[in-house]
Amino acid sequence: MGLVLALGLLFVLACGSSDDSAAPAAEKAAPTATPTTQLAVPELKVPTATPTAVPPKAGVTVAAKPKPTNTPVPTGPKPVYGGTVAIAEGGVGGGHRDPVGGRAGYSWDNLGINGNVWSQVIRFSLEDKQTVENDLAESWAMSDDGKTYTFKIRTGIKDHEGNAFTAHDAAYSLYRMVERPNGISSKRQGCMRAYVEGVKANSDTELVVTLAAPRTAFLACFISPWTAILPDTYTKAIDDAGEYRDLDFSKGEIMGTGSFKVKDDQPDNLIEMERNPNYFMDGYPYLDGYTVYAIPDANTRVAAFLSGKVDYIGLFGNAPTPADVDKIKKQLGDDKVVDPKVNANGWRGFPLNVMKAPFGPVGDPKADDLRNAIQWAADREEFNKLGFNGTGHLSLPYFIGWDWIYSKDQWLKEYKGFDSTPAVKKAALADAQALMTKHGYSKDNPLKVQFVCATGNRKDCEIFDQQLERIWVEADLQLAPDYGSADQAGASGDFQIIQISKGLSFQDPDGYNVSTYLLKADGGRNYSGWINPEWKTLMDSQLTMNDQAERAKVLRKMARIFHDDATMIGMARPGVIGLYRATWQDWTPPIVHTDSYSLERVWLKK
Amino acid sequence: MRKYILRRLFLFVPTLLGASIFIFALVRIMPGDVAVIILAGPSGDASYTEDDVIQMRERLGLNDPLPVQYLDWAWGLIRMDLGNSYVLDRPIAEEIKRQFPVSLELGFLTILVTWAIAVPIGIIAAVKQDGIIDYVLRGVAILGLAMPSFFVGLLVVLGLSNFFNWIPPLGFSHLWEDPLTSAQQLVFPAVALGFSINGTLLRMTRTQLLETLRDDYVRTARAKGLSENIVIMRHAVRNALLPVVTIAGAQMGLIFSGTIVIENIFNIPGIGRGVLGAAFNRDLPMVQAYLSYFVLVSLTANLLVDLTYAWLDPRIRFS
Repeated sequence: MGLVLALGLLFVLACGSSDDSAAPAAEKAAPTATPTTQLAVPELKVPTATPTAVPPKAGVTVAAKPKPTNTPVPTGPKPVYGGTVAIAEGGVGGGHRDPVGGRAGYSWDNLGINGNVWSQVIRFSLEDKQTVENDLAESWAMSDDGKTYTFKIRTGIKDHEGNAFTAHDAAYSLYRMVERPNGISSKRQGCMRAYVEGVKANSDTELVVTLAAPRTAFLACFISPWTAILPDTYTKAIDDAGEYRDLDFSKGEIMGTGSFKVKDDQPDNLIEMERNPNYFMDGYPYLDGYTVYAIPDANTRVAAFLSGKVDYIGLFGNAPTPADVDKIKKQLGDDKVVDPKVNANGWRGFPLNVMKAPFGPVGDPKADDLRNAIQWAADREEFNKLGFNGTGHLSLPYFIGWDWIYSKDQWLKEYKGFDSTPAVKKAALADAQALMTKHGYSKDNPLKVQFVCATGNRKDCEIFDQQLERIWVEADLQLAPDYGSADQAGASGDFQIIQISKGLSFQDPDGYNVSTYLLKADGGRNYSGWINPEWKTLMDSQLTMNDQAERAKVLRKMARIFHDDATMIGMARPGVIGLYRATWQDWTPPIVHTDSYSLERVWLKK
Repeated sequence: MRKYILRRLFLFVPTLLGASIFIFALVRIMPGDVAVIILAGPSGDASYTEDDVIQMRERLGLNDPLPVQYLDWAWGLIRMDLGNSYVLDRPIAEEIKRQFPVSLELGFLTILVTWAIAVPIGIIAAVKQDGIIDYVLRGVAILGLAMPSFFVGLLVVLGLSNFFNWIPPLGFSHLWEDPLTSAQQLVFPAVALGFSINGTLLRMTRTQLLETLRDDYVRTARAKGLSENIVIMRHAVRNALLPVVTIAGAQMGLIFSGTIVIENIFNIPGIGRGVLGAAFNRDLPMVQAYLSYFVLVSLTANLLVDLTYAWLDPRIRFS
């Protein structure tokens, strides 16, 4: 009783002060003519649900309007200035601030910095997240041979310390990604290393990026938020010192050219931003600032949202579940929150080892049948529901939902095993069982295989294991203690089935092909040992195609080969849910979880 | 007394040495290649090459013989140079320096709350033995013993949120920066953390006091005509609390290890939060540093308790 009384007294104490509730409403009205920097670049428009950057026709110069002008807002209410927002971030272990180093970018605070503190040369439009718009560049062009990209950097850009930002700064940021001085890990910019041969600044305003070979996917890689551009003031000094370390806020090193600058950074606690009054895009941002709080516990994040202390939760570090969303909507009202479902930029699947019986080699009738049986029997929808609360996206191994290649209906119709409609799945399962029976396997005589899985993905593996049992495959599930150990088992070929999850920093099938299959020596994970010369020829041919319609035809042929060879049982692309207050205006949520989280255009409705 | 202190301090050193070897070995026998773990990233999907693995092993000093690695680490520990975090690329000592005062504040507040609540209630329960108050208080104590602190913590957060639409302020403030905000942030985790410890202390206080109240010298005090309050507070409680002090010392370690979960639930950027982050990210130098910290805190707490106990009870220092 004493404890209860004490708790009550303590609560009275705790509630005694003013509550730092949700962000104040915007105070200052925007000027009647609201600036905008939305750049209409029709050639770059991609009519897909998932953005894929498409390069311009060779030799075309893509120009931006030189400076935001007094262009009226075409539709909707008039934005107002002022107010702050609070964000709950779920990651644990503090944040790594240098976008090129360590584990940068694994949590919202890093992505929030990428989109807000750092700039990019060009970026996905903040308004539609699908077209490309200029950021530090005011125009750019690709050479006729598709190997050289020339960017004209805007003049008059000042960093947060008031120093001039030039093409030399941008070149140094790119140099760090490509050359990795002092062994900076630069994990998320693998595509830059794979594609880029050289970077140079010809003058303060001209940045030139040269590719080793023409590469359609370069643009997608380049506009990824991971390709963050910093002034070289501190990064160069750190690199020159000869031993890598992270940028340190206490030394004033977290400084960029973006619309917000860092006011306070307390690892494991919060990072507070304020408006950059000298931002090179006039009129932006609207908010006075924002704060990202590190809240590792999912229940506490939901409680913080319900109590009005944060205005956004997700997507990293245990994003809100559908149950959380329902609870919040029930308590606050459906119209008070927005809950976009966002695909993770990655996929989950199970390579089958074709270098080892019974699944290999390709061309062996029995091995082909066994792999196909698994391909047909796998229930992707069930996997999605159980593994990702139904928020995931059905996927083939690596052509994951780009509608310009195939619509979902086309996938389901053309590729056996993907349709989870009960009648269709039942028929596919019967066909799979027939294949197994043909080779003498049954409930009493199951096919026994070695199945390696990282403990972190145990749930995925258990679901797949249960599905395998339906076609009398008895898997000896071996849990590797961590992802690295699972990787090592995969690389050694000591498995028959292995679980794999793959994330990438940009949206293009080339990215998946490169990191998963072609460049195994550069970190790819083609542990299956699968090689198909026809597929490889097609792969090479599509790398330099600028016409996406033509490229899509090639990609469809590649998908067909890949599906029929059945060496990689693709299951699903994970999905997550973000959650933010409906008072946020003009914010396009990320389309994938590694997209830009820039708050530059966000304003708060009173 | 001086001899006793010296003997106790002398024991402190080999214990610390043994613990350091144990910690070092424990971290080394954990499965997985640290270089690969770091390169693969927390979700296992980052790209790396064999060259990257070789470079990373070299950078981490993992190619050196184990005794060399141990001596390097132990020498660093003595100099308070704990090296850099694998994950954060920052000095570990700076991280601990930032986190330690936070956990210390929470730890002391927990001890304060625990003692302020458990001891008086234990005394009341003993004095009102077998009455309704005693039964209720013992029920609360058993509840505290039965419920782990993380569960109590979650109940507190959900209770505050669901019933009062309130949670403690976000963005940690130190007691010396903003006392009111700090109190709001620390009181609830302290209560949650101390709840199970309260149960033990309450029961210990009650049992010891009941035993003492049956001693001859208490009967003598009563026979002398002293008031019941003086008999209990001046004669019985002082003697009854001796074993309670020992238990409290042992529980300091529990309090500091309990911060691992509680700091994460209540969003407090202390050592406990750091431990979970380091374990989650397989940041082995940080895990080693934190384990050493816990060993040091526990040993120091036990040393202080032993010294206090010797000071309180002459039989110990003269034995």
